[in-house]
This record gives sequence, structure tokens and C-alpha cells, in this order.
Amino acid sequence: MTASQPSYILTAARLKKQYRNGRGVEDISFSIRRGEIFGLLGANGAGKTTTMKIITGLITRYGGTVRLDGEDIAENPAKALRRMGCLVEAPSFYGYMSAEKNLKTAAAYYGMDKAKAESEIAAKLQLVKLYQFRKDKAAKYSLGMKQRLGLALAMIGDPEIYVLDEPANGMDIEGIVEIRNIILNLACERRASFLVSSHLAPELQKMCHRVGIIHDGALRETAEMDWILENYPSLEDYYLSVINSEGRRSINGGK
Amino acid sequence: MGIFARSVGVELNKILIRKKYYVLVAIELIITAVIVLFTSENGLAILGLSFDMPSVPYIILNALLVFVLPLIIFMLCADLFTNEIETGTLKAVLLRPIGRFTAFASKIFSVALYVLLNLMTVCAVIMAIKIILGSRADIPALLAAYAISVLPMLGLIAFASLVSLTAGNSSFAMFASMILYFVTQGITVVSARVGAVFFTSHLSVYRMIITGNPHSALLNTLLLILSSIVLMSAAAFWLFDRKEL
Repeated sequence: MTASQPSYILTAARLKKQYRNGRGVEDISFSIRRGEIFGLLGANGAGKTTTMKIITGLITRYGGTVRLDGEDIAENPAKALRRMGCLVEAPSFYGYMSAEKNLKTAAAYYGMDKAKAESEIAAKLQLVKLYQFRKDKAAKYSLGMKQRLGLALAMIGDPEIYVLDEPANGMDIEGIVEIRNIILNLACERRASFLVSSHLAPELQKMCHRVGIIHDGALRETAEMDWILENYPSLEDYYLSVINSEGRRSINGGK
Repeated sequence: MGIFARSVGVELNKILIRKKYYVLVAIELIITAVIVLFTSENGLAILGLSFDMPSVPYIILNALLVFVLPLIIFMLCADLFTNEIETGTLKAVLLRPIGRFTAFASKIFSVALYVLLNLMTVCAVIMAIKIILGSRADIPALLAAYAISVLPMLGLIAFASLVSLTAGNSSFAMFASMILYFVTQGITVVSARVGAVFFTSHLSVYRMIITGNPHSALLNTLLLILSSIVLMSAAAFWLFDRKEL
């Protein structure tokens, strides 16, 4: 790699997955740089979640490759997941446990000592504003609180790359802003990379460095956010122009 | 502590955090204590009666192995496999730095640990009552019988995990496990020769040890149980590994 080449932490190449009902994704390729927030914008059922499930190993039979720092994640998914924080589809937690207990359960997989785990859990709970509700059973949380818990769970182990599927789903305006700020801070201060999906263009416009438009199971185009906003009034207009045009393009640094 | 041990800890914690699994053990212990108390030498001395049934600890073990523990195992496997797949909570495990084999093995192992704990607790209660009452009891043989019984239970765990991974919901998983189990038991009742090919007809393998059966017969039975465990575990893992959430 030469000095001029960007440092990609994650590269997805020609991802393909077809479900029995004929839906799925085909030929999805993109890369994510260190510290970059890469957005996947698409309608419901466009293939965002399937792409994320392939990347996180929840889908095991697929075509193509996913490389994390050049290593195929299929060869050692556990090693890859050590560096990934995931919130895919709905947040995964045990409803019969409190938020604190859920985070302790997740932290147990990372072999942290008790003191470190407790301080990390308290910090994450404070960050997502669940600290005062930490002893309550997660099943009793509102949709927004469950989403916050999902994000706190994704942050356990301080991952280098986050895969977040509609992280602001079900949240109120304040919650959406808070989640966005958490993501921006992690990208800025820790150089964490993000793959964030949403069907809401304004949300991605406010936080992403680069966006891929996914439509009908195919990645139609990727582009830098700066370029999009220079050439279109908003990400929403860009999205509409892409899905209404034929074929596939890669614009201005999109890989 | 390795990832496997940590993962077993997580799974065991998931079992022990649910009240139903405590309540079941508590009920078992109360019933066991009452039965042993009333069937032991000196047990009814306070009522001026003399009554002694030394084989009761083994009758209790038999009841545990044939009726109680299978139901608990079916419930546990339905909770740890089918229910977690159904509710998507299995993602909480699979999205952590743990391979699928470790995730699967730790679930099986944690159920086995719970069963062993269950058997040992019942055995401890029986021994404690016998010692307190000064009743006759072959403590080492009793302990060995209860401990060895975890082996056929491992077969049931593998069987229940296989059924749970093919079932669409946890109620059906438990129901199907029970039906299949009672069918194999029924076949054994109708024809002991045909039933002998199922490991479920050898759940009381401890009897072969305490009655001093020929080594070849014991070895045959142990190999049948072990091969059943290996085959069913392999099939269950194959299904688990292919699960897409």
C-alpha cells in the first residue's frame, strides 16, 4: 500500500445472498476507511440488513468476501467480532435481565477484570442515558430505551468498527441527536469506523462521510457526502436521482 | 479463564437467573427429603414406627432419570436454543467474539452442569438425612450412582438440542422432545430387544455398575450411550452452525 492510498479497515467484495423468496443482495462491494462513518441508505427491504448480517457473520452461507484489515472474516469470525460492535436489526438482549446485567453478560466474553468491566459498563450506561434505569428489567424498557441499550451493548469491548443497523430506530428527537453525537464522537476521538444503515436520508446526511445507495438488493452508487451536498440540495435528492437512474456509478472517491 | 469457560458461565447464569429452574430443584428437594425421611430407619421413630426401605435413594434416582430430568432438559434446551433463535437473543451470543462451536458447546455443557448440580444436590440431601438419622446407607455407591447418571443425561441433552434446533418455536420443541422420548420409552416397554438400540432405554446405567454386571455388557451400554451423544451432538451442531438469524 502506498502512502496515498486510503487505509481501509473493512472491505466487502461482491457480496451475494439469495433467500428462498428470491430477495437478497447481489454484487455488493464497498470499503470503509478508519475513522469513517459510511452510511447505507435504502428503502425497507432494499438489502441493508442482509448486508450487515453477512458482515457480522449472522449469515454464514453467502457469496463474496468480507475482509477486516485484509483478513477474510469467514476464516476466523470470532477474531473479527472481537474488533466489531454490532447492532443488527433489533437490539439483542435478555429481557429477563436488567440493563446492567445484560452489559455484564456481554462483557464476560471479553475477559475483562471485574473492576474494568464495572467501570466500562457504568460509563456506557451513562453515555446512553440509561444509568438511572440500570437495575430495571430490559423487557420493561420503551422502544427508544431498548435501542439505547443495544448501542451500549455494541460499545462493550471498545470496538474499532461499528456495524449499526438503523441505530436511531424508535427514538425521539433528543434520542436521535444523542445517538448521532455518540457516533460522531467515537469516530472523531477514537477513530472508530462505522457502517450505519438507515432509510432516513436526513439522519445519514448529518453524520456520514460517505454514503452508499442500496436499492433492490444492489449497491447502486457510493459517494462522498461533501460531493453530494455540492451537487444536490440534499442527500434525499441525491438518493431519488440515483434510484430513478439506470445502472450503477461510483462517484468521487466511492469505492 | 478461557473463552469456553466464560461462555459456560454466561449460559449457566442465564439458566440460574430464571426462577423456574430454582423452583423445580426446590420441589425435587422437598419431595426427596420427605420420602427419605419417612422411609429411613429411625425416620419414623418419632412416631413410634419402624420402617426402612434402603432402596429408596435409587428409586428416587430412577424417577429423576426417567421422568423429572428429561422434562427439565427438554425445557432447558428449548429455552437455550429454540427460544433464543425465536426471539433473536441468540444474536447476543453470536455477535460476540466467540465461535459458533464454542457457543454451541457452552450451551450443552451448561445444561449438563445444571443436571449434575441437580443430581448432586438431591444426593447430598439424601446422604445428609441418612447420616443425621444414623440409617444404613452405602454412601460411596450412592454417590457413584448419582454421578455416573449424568452420562446418559448427556445423551438426552444432545437429543433435546437436536430437536430444539429443528423446531420452530420453544413450545413445539418441548412437546416434540417429550413425544419422541416417550415413544422410544414405549417401544422399550413393548419390546425390550428393539428398545435396547435406543440410548433412552439405558438411562439407569448406574444399575449395571452397582449390581456388578459383566464388564462387556457395561462397555456395550456405555459405548451405545457415547456414540448416541457423538452422533446427535454432531447433527445438532451442524444445524446450529447453519442457523442464519
